[in-house]
Amino acid sequence: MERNAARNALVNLLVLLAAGVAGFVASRYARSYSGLVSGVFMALGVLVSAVSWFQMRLLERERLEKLEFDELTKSAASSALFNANETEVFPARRSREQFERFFIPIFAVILFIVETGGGVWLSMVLQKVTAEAVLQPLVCLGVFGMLFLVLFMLGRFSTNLGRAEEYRLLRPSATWVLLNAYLCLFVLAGIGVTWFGVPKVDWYVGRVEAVLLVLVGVETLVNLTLELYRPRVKGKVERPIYESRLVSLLGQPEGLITTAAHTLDYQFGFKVSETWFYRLFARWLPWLVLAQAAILVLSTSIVFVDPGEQAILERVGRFVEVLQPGAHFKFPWPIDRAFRYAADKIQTVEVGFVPDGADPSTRVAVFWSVRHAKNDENFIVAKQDASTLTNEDAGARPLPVDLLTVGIPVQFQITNLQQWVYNNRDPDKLLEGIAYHEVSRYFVNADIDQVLSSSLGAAAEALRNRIQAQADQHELGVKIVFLGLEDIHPLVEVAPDYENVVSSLNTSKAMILQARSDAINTNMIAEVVALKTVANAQADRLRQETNAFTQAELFTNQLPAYLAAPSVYKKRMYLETFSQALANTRTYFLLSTNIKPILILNQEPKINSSLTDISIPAPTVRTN
Amino acid sequence: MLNLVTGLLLALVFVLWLFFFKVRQNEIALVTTFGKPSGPPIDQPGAYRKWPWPIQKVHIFDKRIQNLEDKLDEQQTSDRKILDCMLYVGWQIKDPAAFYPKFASSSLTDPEAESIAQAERVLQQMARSAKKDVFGSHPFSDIISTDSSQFKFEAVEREILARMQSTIVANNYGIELKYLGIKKLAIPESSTQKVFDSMKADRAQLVTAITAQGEHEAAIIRQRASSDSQRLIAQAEADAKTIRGQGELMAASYLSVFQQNPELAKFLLELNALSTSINKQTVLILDRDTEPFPLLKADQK
Repeated sequence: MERNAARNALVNLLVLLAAGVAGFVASRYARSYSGLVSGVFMALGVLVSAVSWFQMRLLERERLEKLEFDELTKSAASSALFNANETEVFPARRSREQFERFFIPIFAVILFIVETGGGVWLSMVLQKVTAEAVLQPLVCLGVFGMLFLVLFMLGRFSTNLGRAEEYRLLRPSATWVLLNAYLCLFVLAGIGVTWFGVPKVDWYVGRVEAVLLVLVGVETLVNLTLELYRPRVKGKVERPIYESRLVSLLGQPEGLITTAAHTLDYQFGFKVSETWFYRLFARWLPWLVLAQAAILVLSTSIVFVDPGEQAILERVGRFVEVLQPGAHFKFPWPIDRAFRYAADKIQTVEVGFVPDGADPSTRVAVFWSVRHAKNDENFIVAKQDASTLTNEDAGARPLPVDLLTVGIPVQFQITNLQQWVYNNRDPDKLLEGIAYHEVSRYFVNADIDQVLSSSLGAAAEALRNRIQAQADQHELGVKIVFLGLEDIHPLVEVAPDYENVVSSLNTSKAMILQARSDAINTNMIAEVVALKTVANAQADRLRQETNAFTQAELFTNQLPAYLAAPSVYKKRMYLETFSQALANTRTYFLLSTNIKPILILNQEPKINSSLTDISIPAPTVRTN
Repeated sequence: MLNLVTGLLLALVFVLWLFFFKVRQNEIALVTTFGKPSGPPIDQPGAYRKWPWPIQKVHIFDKRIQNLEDKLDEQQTSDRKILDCMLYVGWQIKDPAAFYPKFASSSLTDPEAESIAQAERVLQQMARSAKKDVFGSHPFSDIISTDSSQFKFEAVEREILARMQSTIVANNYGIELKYLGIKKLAIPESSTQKVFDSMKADRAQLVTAITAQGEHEAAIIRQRASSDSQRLIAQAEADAKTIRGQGELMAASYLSVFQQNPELAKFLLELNALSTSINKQTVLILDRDTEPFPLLKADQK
C-alpha cells in the first residue's frame, strides 16, 4: 500500500507537470492571464508533490530497513562482540530524520518566498497590463476543461486515499492537485464569461489567483512560525510544514469545519473541536455567513451624503430625487442606487495654458518675458487691417493676426444636478468647449491693443455672461461664478518688444518734461533780461535828465562869472581842468621846439597793469 | 435547509439576471430577437423582461448628448489663408434601430461602446470635410476680423452644422446633431515666426512713433519758449528806447539855457570832454609852449 501511495504521489507529480505545461502553452496562445497564473499554481504543486513523494520514499526505505533489522535480530541474537550505535545501524532512518529536520524547513522557507514573491510580482504585472479579449476562447475552454476533469478525478482519488493516517504524506500533493482542478474550473468560468463579452473577467480571475498565492505563502510562513511553539506530544505524528491547510480547504471546501477543527486540535495539542463553543460555532457558521451577507446588502439601504455633496437616487434605473447632505434611507442595492457628486464644490476649467504646478506662494513675480506655464496655447487675435484684406492678392500678404498667451480660469458650481448628470455624457468637457469657444470668438473679433488695454473687468464680465448664456442654452445646470482675465499677455518671444513700448512712452514723457523745464528757464531768463533792459533805460533817462538839469543850473551860475571876466574865467577853467588831468597821467616834456604837443589817449578797455597801477595796502603794525 | 435556501437565492439571482434587464435614466435600449430589432427602442427608465441569450439580446446606449472634438487641422480660406481649426460637436442617438446596424461592432468586449466610437470616427471625418468646404467658401475676414459688419463667426458654424446634419439625415444614421462650435483657432507652425516678426515690427513702429511724437512736442515747447523770450526782450528793448527818448526830450528842454551864451557853453563842453578823455592810461607829450608850461622857459621871468 505504501508503494501504491508513493506511486500515486509520483502520478500526481507527473500529471501536474503535464497539466502545467499544457495549461501554460494554451494560456500563452490564447492570452489568458488567469490561465498563466494557474500555471504557477501547477508548478508549485509539482514541487510539493516531488518533495512529498521523496519523503514517502524515505519513509518506505526506513520501513524496509526496520523490517530487515528485525529479521536480523531474530536470526542472530547477540552474536556480535559490540553493540553498534543506532545511527550506524539505521542509516535510512537517519536520512529521513535529517531530511525532515533540515530540508523540510528550508523547503518551506523557499516555498514561502516563491509563493509570496510570485504572488506580489504577478499582481504588479497584472496591474500594468490592460485587459484584452481572449484569443481562441474555445481552444482554451477545451484544454482547461480537460485538465479540470483529469485533475479533479485524480485529486479526489488521492484525497480519499490520503485520509488514512499511514498515507498522510499523500495529502499535500493530493490537495494541490484538487486545488489546481478547481482553479482550472475557475479559469474556465472566467474565459467563458469573457467569451460572452466581458474581457476584464479573465484579468480579474488572474488577480484573484495572484492574491490567493500570496495568502498561501503567508499561511506557509504562519505554519513555520506556529511549528516552533507547537507542544510536542509523544506518539503524535507530525504534520509536514509544507502541507497547506488553506490549499486543502480550497481543495475541499466542504471540509471547512473539519479542517478548522483538525488545525486547532493539532496546534493546541488537545481536542478543541470537542468543546461546546466550537460545536455551536460549527453548527451555526453557515447561517451566520448568510446573515452577514444579508446585513451587508441591507447596509446599502442607508446612504450618507457628505457636506458639499449631492446624490442622485435611482430606483431600478429611474430617477427619483436629488439627495441633499445627510443620512437617507433607500431600498437596498440593486433596487435603489445613489450616485454622489461634489455639487457645491467650486470647480475650475482652465482655458489656455496649464500652470507649471509650482506653489504660487513661492513665485515672487510673474513676468511676460519669462515662461511660467507647462504648455502655452496661442490664441489668435485679429488685426485692425484684417478687414481690408478681401481682394485676391491678399493671399500674398502675411496673416493679419496677432498671437496672445492666455490663462483664463473659469470657475463654476453645479446648481442643477439632474441637468448636469442626465443631459450630457461629458458635461465638464462640454463646458470646456463652450469656454474655449467664447474666448476664441472674443479674441478673433478684437484688436490686440483693445484686448490688452481695455477694461479687463468689463471684458471678463461680458465673457462670463456669454459662457453662462451658452451653458443655460445647453441646460448644463451650472453657474459660472468667476472668470479671470488676469493672465493675458503677448507671447514670451515678443514680450520684450511690448515692454519697449512702455519704455518709449516714458522716454517721450521725459523729453516733454525736459523741454518744459527748458522753456521755463528760457522764459525766466528773458523776463530778467527784459526787466534789466527797461531798468537800465529808466536809469539812463534819469541820469540824462539830471545831468541836463545840473548842467543847466551850473551854466546859469557860471554865466555871471564869465560875464564879469570872460578871458580870465576861461583861462582859469582851462588851467584847473588841465592840472587835474595831469595829476594822474604820464607826462613827457620835449625841449625841442619844432614839434606840436601830442596827446596819446589810450582807450583800451583792459590795460596790463604795471607796478605804478598797483595800490599798496597800508602797512599793518605787528605787536609782539 | 441552508443549502436549499442558498440554492434558491442563487437561482433567483440567476433567473433575474437571465430574464430581466434595467434601463437607467440616461440610457436607451434596443432589444433584438435573433439579431433583428424587435419593438420600439426603450428610452424610459425601469426594469423590463426579455428572453435570455441567444433568443434576445439587449443593446443599451447612452442617450445623453455625446461630446466629440475633432482634430486641429489646417483649412484654407477662399483668399488662400491657412488656419488651423478644431470643432466641438454634440450629438445624440435618436433612433437606436437605425443607429445600431450602421455602426454595429463585432467586438466581444463592449459592442455598444465600440459602436459609439465608430460613429464618432464617422462624425469626425464628416466634420473635417464640412469644415474644409465651408472654410474654403469664406474669406479670412469672415472668421477673424475687428469689423463686426464683416465678422461671420456664427454663420460659419451654422453652415458646418447644416452640412453635417444634411448628410446624417440623408443617410438615416439615427443620430441628431445638437450643437457645433469652433473650439480653437490657430495658425500653422510655419506662419508663427512670421507673425512674431510682424508683431515685433508693429511694436517697433509704435516705439518710433511715440519717441518721435515726444521729440516733436519737446521741440515745439522749446521753440515757443524761445519765441516768447525773444518777443519779451524785443519789447523790453523797444520800451528802453522809448524811455531813453523821453530822457533826451527832457534833457533837450534845458538846452535853451545855454543859448544865453553859446560861446561859453561850447567852451565848457570842450573842457568837460577833455577832462573825461584823460585818464590814468593817458600819456601826454608836451612841449614847452603848451600852457601853462611856457613859464618854465629860462627867458620868462
